[in-house]
Amino acid sequence: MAYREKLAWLTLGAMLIAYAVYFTWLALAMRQGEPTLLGILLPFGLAAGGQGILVAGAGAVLAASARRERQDRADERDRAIARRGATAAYYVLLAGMILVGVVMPFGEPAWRIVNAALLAIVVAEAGRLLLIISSYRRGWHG
Amino acid sequence: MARPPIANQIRTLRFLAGEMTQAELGQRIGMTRQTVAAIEAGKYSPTLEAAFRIAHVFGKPIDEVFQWTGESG
Amino acid sequence: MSNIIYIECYRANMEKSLMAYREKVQWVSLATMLLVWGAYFARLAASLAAGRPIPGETLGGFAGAVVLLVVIQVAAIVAIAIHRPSEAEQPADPREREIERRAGSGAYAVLSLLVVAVMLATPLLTIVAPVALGRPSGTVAAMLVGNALLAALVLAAIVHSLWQILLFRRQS
Repeated sequence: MAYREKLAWLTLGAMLIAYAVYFTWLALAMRQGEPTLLGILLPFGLAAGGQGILVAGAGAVLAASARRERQDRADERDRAIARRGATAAYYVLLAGMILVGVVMPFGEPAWRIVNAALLAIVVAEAGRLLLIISSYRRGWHG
Repeated sequence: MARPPIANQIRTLRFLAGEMTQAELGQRIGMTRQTVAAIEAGKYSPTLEAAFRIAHVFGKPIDEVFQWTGESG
Repeated sequence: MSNIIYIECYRANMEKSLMAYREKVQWVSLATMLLVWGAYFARLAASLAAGRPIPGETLGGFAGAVVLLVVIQVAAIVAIAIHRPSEAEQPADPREREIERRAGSGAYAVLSLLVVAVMLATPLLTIVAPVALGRPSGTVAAMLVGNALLAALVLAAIVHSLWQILLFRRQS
C-alpha cells in the first residue's frame, strides 16, 4: 500500500471516530434541551484535539515504519489523486454550505447552523479521503 | 510554472499534412484547439495517450513527433 | 516558400487569439459573481452600518441576487454556446479536466479554511455583534452567521473561477 494511501486511511479513521463521538454526544445533549454555544465548545475541542492526537501518534508510527517512502516527494500521480479528492470535496462542501448558510438561517438557531457546517466539513473530508483511497486501490491514473 | 522539457514537431507536421489546422488535429485526437496550441507551444505536456494519438494521425513514430530536452539520465 | 511561411505564421497568430469555451464560461462566472455578490454584500454592509440589519430585507436581497446571477450567467453561456456550438458540445479534454482539478483543489482549501474561521468567529457573530448593532436577537445572530458562510462560499467560488482563468491564460 502506498504511504499516502495509508495516511489517508489513518486520517479517515481518526476523523470518523472523533466526530462520531462528538455528534453522538450532541444528539444526546439535544434531547435534554438546547445546548449553549459555549457548552458545545469543550466537547468539540476534545473531539478535534483527540483526532489530532490520534493522527499525530499513529502518523509518527507510520512514518517510522515507512521512512524511505515517506521521504519521496509526491509524484504526478500522487498529486493528481490528491487534486481529484480535493475537487470532489469542494463540490460536496459547496452543496453543504448552500444548505447550511443559505437555507438554515431562516429557521434555525446559530448553534445548529455551526454544527451543521461542521458536519458538512466532516462529510466533505470523508469524501475526499475515500476518493483518494479508492483512486489508489483502483489504480486511477488521471 | 516551468515549461515541460519536451520539444515537438507538431506545427511542421501539420503543415506537411496538407496544412492541417489545430482545430482539425484537435478533432482527430479528441482535444480542443486550444489544448493543441498549448502542446505545440510547449506550455502543456500531453498525456501519453494523447501523444500516441497525435503521432498516429501523422503516421510517425512518437519520437519523431516529441523529443526530450531535459537533463539526460 | 517565404509566402508559405508568412501564411502559416499569419494563420498561427489568428488561431492563437481564440479563447477556449470553458475559459469564456469562467470569465462570465467570475464577472457575474463579482457584480452581483459585490452589490449584495455592499448593501448588507450599508444596512449593518446604519444599525438596521433586518433579516427579512436581507432575504429579499439574497433571493434577488440569486435570480439575477442565474439569469445573467445562463444568458451569457447560451450566447457563447450559440456563437461557437462545436466547442460548447465538446466534452472537457484531459488538459481542461486537469485545470479544473487544480482550481478545485485550491478552492476547497479556501472554502474549508473560511468555514472553520466562521465557526471560530461564531461567538462574536452571535453574541457580541447583535448587541453592538442594537438588535440582540437570535434571528439577527443566525442572519449574521448565514451571511458569513455565504461570503465564504462566494469567495471560494471566485477563487475557483479565477484560478482556472489564470491556468488557461498561462497555457495559451
